[in-house]
Amino acid sequence: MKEGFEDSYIVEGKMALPYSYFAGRVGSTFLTTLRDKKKIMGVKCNTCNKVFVPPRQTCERCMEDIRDNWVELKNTGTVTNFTVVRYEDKHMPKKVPYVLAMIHLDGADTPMTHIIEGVKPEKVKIGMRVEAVFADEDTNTIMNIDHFKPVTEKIEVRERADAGGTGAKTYTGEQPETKKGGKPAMSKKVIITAALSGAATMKNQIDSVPYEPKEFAEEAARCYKAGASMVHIHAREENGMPTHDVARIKATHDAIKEKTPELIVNLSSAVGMGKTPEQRITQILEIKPEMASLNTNTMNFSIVDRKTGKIFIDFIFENTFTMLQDFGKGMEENGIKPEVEVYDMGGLDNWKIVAKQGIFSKPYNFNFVWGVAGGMAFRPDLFMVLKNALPEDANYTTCGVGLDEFPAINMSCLSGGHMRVGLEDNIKLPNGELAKGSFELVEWATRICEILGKEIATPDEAREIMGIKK
Amino acid sequence: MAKKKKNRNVAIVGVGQTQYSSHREDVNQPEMIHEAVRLALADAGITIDDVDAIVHGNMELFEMIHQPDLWHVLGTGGYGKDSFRITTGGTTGATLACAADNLVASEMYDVVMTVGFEKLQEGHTTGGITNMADPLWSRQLQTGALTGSTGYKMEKEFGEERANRAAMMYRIIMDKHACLNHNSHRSFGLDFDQMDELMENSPRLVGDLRLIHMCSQSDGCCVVIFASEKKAKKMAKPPVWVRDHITVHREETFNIFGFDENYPVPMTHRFAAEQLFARNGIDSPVDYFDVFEMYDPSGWWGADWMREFFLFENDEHLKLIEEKEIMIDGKMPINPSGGVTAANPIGATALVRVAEAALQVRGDAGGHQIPGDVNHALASGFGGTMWTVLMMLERELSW
Amino acid sequence: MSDQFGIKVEEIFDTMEERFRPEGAEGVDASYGYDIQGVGKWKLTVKDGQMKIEEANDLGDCVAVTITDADTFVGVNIGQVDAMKAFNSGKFKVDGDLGALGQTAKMFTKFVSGKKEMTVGDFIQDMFATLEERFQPKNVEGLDVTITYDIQGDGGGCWTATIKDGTCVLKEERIEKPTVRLEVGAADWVDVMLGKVDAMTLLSAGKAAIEGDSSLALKLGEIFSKYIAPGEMAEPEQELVRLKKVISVDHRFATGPVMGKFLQGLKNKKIIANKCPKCGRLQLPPREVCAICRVRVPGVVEVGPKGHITINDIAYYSSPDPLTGETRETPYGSINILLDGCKGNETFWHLLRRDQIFEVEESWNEKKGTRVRPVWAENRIGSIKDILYFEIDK
Repeated sequence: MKEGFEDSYIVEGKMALPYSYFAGRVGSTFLTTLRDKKKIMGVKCNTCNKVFVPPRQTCERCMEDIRDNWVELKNTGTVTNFTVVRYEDKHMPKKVPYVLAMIHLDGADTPMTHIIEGVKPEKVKIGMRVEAVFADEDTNTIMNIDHFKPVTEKIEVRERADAGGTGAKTYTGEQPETKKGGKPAMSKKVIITAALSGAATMKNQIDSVPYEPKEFAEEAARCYKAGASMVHIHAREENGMPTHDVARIKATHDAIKEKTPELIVNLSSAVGMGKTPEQRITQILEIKPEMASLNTNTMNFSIVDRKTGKIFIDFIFENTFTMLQDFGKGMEENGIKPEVEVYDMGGLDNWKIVAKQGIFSKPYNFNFVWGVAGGMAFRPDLFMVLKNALPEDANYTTCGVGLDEFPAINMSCLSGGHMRVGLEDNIKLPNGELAKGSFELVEWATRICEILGKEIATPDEAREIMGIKK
Repeated sequence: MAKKKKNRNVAIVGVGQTQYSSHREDVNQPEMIHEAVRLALADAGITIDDVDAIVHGNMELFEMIHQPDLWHVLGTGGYGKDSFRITTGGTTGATLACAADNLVASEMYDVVMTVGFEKLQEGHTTGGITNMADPLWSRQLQTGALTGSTGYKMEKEFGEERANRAAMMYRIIMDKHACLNHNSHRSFGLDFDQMDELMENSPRLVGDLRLIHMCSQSDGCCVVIFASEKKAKKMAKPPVWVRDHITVHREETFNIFGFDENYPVPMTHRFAAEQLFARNGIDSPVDYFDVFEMYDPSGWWGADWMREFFLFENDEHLKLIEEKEIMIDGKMPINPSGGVTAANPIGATALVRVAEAALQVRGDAGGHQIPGDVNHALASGFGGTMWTVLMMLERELSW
Repeated sequence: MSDQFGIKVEEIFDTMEERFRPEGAEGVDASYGYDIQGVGKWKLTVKDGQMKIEEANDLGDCVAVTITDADTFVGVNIGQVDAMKAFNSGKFKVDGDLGALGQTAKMFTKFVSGKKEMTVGDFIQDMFATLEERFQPKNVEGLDVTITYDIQGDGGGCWTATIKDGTCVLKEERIEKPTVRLEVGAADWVDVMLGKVDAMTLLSAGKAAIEGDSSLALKLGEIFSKYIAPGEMAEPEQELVRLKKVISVDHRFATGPVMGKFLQGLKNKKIIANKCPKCGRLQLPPREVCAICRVRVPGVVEVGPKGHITINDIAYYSSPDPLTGETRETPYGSINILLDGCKGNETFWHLLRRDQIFEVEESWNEKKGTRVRPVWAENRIGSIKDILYFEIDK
């Protein structure tokens, strides 16, 4: 001990002071309405038109008396910011860890602080929709709202039956020649494919991308309901990594077929980065889906920053002539219809060369892929060049990465081809909002049919068009 | 002590007060504050945009709100403005006024708004005051802020009868003033013929300090706006000039009570008054001032402290009381507002003294306006165990 | 003649003139009929801010005729019957322009029965008759007390409310040692209960007395709901939320070397001061510096432990200790003692033995007060409470 401080010691004590808080008329109205009517009320400043919640007697900026301008707000809102409280203290309103968030209630202009429950802290995101859960016990405080929970948004699918309600479905006359795309028999109905997952779309980008077989089945069912006849899938591990594990892929395939037997399931022979040729084809030959992808050329397949050109992941997607030949043979021998993936004109030519062996059965089915870093970007004239280079008895569909998706499928639909959408290729709607799932992208594809006066093919009609023998 | 250096003159240009009351359940703190803010802005004929800075104050621990100035912005209008919080115990309100005067005189700001408030019903006044004392020593003995020692001293010096009558007379005069002031929290309608009855029946608190003598516990807010000479002269109402102010502190004095003329207890009130009047060349404060708004926590203290503030030696202060010269129409009117026994929202109380003194100078005190001109006014603040603030206000810029 | 809710239909019509508000009848030029079945018919004529009410058989030229029974008519007027309900159930019919009838509401102040001239005694009886039903058990969980109301003067009496296990039983009786006893004049008490006078005002003025647990008396407003005089409607006041909380924090104070030495001294039955090297004053308890001279104060001086009283502050009122909720028993003597070795204002603050508070003399100038000595606690821990109190040194 420091000299001279021998007599210094610590006395423990306690201070306990009672106090009360008068909420006032405005505050009391807010609290009793919360308690008795389960409604959240705000007040509006008629000068700056801001709606404040919790309410206040005065607009702090305009200095206007706003106490009587009550506005009823929704019990739902959007998270504008949040933090996770992890340290324990007796003053904490909830058991840690809990999420403290700023919530912008629908109808209000100021965010309100509250707690979010019913979701793991790591799943909370800015922009998340939440709704108030009212407390059973009355405390006459803001804790009359016990917490906010994520909105269980009812997923409503715009059904295929409604699609084209004013268009092709009721159009009974003969298709005008100009709309027939030159190949009336094959282009009359449009096949919509939903690519549910891909290998690289992850839940941290969009929560509705499926990992579990059950999730695949549910999403596939919604897509079917919206108008898709076929789903294209890359099965995933629990942690989201793409897998070549036959059991997992089969479980995913079967779950989809069990829930929606009508659907055509199209498996990927690419699977994901770094898989061996054997891993890629074995699963297909064992599971024997109705259709599978067949890739046509070895190419760069990289992940880059499209704005700056910076390379994040450099990857060579290996598809040798031998693989094209062997995979193609294996599929045809097992009654699996190949979907020939065309990333550029060379790929189509590669196929044409190998096809000379007489491996492939008619009709042939091609998919023009746009926007892969290593492939080609969408150009309408290039699209027509590809289309015109197709052999006789060929169907074509198309898909585009990111912003290429909707222009490409429009072009395809217009020119007599089919359409592929889904979270594998693109996660945003044409208006820039995050899609609720692949099904919502399917809904938008059906709108294209609606505008162009085309009918959507049922799965059986799709099988007939694509030459799949059930 | 040298005269304070002032870069420029400062005036009080606006006053707003809520009604003082035993409880304001109908408004929360910022809402109550806002009532006074609005009144003060209207009184000054300006808007919140004209205010450059806000000085905000109340007692610590009384409402159990940490950083009250933060959530009071809703009521003060402090959004985007320089704001300061001051808390100096009972003197808080007076310190707010001194700070505002200094801020404007320094040329840092042209218009400064002071906000003093308290909602005593929301807190635990005794609990808060108890925490003023040393936790290891005085806090163990203390329960509240009362003492009968002043009464004892006066009784010893002037006799029990005279001292008690003077304190009660003082108290009744304050109540008569309170009845004229519609903002009063307490106004009983006491009359002089009740003196004997009150001296007999009002419950004793400590010694001869009785419940009737003691100040109230009030809710309320007072707002006073200060402006530079240039700005003040452009405003609609006549400015009330802040001539000078003084603050005197000393260490806590729980233990020094005892009366021996060979060892006088130094009174900060007298010390402050001596310094202030000397440097302003005022020989006889009782003749100079037209009104005195005194921080008088009880009838006993009010009566006793008159002697210190007016630098009396003998019983002149008692004579003023006995001859009712401290009444509103008397020679030396004290607390036409009714004083602290009429309303005591503690953080605002000392600012109310300044506000009321300014209203008297301006002639705008309404029902409790002193008849005749009020040219020179004095206001005091009291806090801690013995802290003093004095402020002098003038009608003309003539010193 | 019928008599509903103690009020005759005629009373309502007879008082119309005095209840008339010309400002509410501005621009009105119309007649209104009242057909009170089984009682009679009245016609109200309003024109140029004047009114006339008369019994009339022909209500033909009225813009609206109210047709109802006496019970409903009186009930609506005194607020005992909901007008909308009566209207919806067909008990209260309006023939003619309903909107025009609505105007009459603005023309008259509310009917107040002349019968309500209650005496102080009536009020007192009514207050205690309704006390049990006004009991609010929710607000006073676990309360086990007796409250005696000693109401003096005309109309007074003595009642005792026993509150236990969430129930309240009132008996007209006087009991020994209730938890709290209120003594107040009947008329004053009626004023308090009707909200005309603040209870503190009566206490301040010595017109009321509280014996026993005064904090309980201050809680009466929570224990019982507000008294409402007969015929008065409880105003549908907005519920104002008041949140009650206790903030409780643990703290650790360092004594520092100087206060530490003082407290350790008490443990050893020694009282220690220190002396300013500049002005020579003693500080008790000792301080690190002299705040007046602004110099460090080295060393300590032992004083006392005996001394004489300079001030004996007899406290009759004690507020509860916010830390413990305990209230010190009153009256008690809070004393300043000039310990031997000290002079002038160098006094020491402590408490006086309770049974001796009226037996001691205070000092004044050269005259010394009563000699006292400390009474030490058995177990001393280094706290000011190591001295229990001071007592007369006989």
